Amino acid sequence: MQSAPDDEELDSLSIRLVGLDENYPVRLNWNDLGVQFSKQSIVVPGDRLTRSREFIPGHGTLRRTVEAGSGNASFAAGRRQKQNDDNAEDNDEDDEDEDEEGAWELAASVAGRQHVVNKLLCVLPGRSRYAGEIGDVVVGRVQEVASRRWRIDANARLQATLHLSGVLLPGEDLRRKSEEDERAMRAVLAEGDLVSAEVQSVQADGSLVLHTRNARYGRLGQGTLVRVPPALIKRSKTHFHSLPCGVTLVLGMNGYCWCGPTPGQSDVREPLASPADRSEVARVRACVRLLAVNHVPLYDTSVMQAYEVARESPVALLSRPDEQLRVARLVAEQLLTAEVGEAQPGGGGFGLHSGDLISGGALSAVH
Amino acid sequence: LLAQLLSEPERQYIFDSVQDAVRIDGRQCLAYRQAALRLDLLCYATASAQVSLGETDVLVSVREEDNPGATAQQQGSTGSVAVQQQQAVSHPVSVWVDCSCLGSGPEQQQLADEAQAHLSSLYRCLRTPTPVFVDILLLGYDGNLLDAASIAASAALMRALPASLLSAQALPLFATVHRIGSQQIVDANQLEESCSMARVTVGVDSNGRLVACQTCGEGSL
Repeated sequence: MQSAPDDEELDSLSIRLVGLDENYPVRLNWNDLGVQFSKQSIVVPGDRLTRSREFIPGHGTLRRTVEAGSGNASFAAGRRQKQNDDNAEDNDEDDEDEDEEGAWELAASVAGRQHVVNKLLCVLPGRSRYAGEIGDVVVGRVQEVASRRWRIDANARLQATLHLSGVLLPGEDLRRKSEEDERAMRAVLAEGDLVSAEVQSVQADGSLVLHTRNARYGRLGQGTLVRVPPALIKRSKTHFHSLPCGVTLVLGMNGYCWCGPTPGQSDVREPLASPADRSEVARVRACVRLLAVNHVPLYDTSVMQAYEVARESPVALLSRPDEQLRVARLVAEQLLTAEVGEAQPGGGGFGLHSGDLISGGALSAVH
Repeated sequence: LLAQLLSEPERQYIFDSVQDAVRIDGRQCLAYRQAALRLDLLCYATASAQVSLGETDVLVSVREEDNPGATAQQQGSTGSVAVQQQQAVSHPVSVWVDCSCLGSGPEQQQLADEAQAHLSSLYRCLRTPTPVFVDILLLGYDGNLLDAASIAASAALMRALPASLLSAQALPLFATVHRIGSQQIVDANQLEESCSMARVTVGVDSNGRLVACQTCGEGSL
């Protein structure tokens, strides 16, 4: 391993010649770290998941009937393919008409990892647009100010909506909302503003309705946005992290992560960050990015571990793929040993990994 | 060149970061990102090169015209005699920029048009006896398209053009400097370009001579 370049080398333009057959940039290979996947847990569209009727089809699955009598119900043998909306509600209606003797099977409609929760069987794709669930914390950017609502880009298939009634206006408890509030919407959130919000509901067409009726949500101030694949964000109790280094990190479930200096307790509205703060913010940002490109799940522990490992390196070095790989590898090894330490029984008959932090992260590496 | 929608606090943060000489990715003001260069990727081109400068990824293919006689006859006859003589034996480098990998919206098209105009004017210093076509395909964009394209184009042109031609004139490498506030930065990424007031791009050959210069933007340098 070459030694870390000094400051002069970091500043000058260095051009690395890459051979035609060379694999560059090299990203973390989870197989090298000993992570094995059971063959059954990863599926591609068309794969048969189960023929047992006890399972409810979830997202990413479809039911199809296969001809009675055909012994091996492979996906090619299924003649009448009944496409089903992957809703559990539909299933109840169809159960009455599905009283045939023909065997039916549950097949995957997307490429991904099987996930079983009690009787619900679904397939979680490794890389897909953020779909949104009620209660998710997301970070979005205001695209448009419309009549009594804001249209927000939340990295989903459709723009999300934030209603005027969904924000906490200052002094709201003391007065009723008026027309002036409608006209002064841009004073609250203007085009381009970043806002942290919670998903209030998911509309029928899949668009999200957000709200910020909580003191911790709202417009985001100084800082930068990092965009990562949404599948890498591990769901946890809180997505607002005040790291010990003085950086606030908001990991939106939609893949938009925001890093900024933690505002002090003083009365000053928006104190200007010091160069030391900026350096820390840059380091945290670089850590989030290097974990994302190496498909390591993102949550406070993994980011903090990356920060600890990368503390001694100059921040500019963390943009280089070699250094990114080195840090990500160390973090992944630490995460794996931690998971083995708290061993849980494996789930279901499908050979699932108990820790979805590994499966989710490694699956996106398959793409 | 491809401005992003940013909030005021974000813009202010980028601006102040540059003034404090700690950029968003931790670089110093005059620091470049690491570049990776791949050569000879395309079999149908005379020479090709791909450069990735951070997330900015350009693929350049250089092709020489097969039938130089045909285009020589199309040379214009206006202008002074000296210019006419020069035009008869040398052609400027023809540059084409394609940004379709980024999307099909009007911003991407504008980026392509602007980049093509800037690069064409910057490469006016280079003249070749046969027409040479430089096609630039933008695979990813995070700022500093001109510098990345110049590295790739220079690498490809060095392999495409004969050594005699290269020794007479030198291939320029472009360095783009953006002005943000009172500081100058090189190798701006997309966020910093959105906040910059003005930029100057200079082309420098291997002898250190200034061979091309171009400015853009509303601020003063």
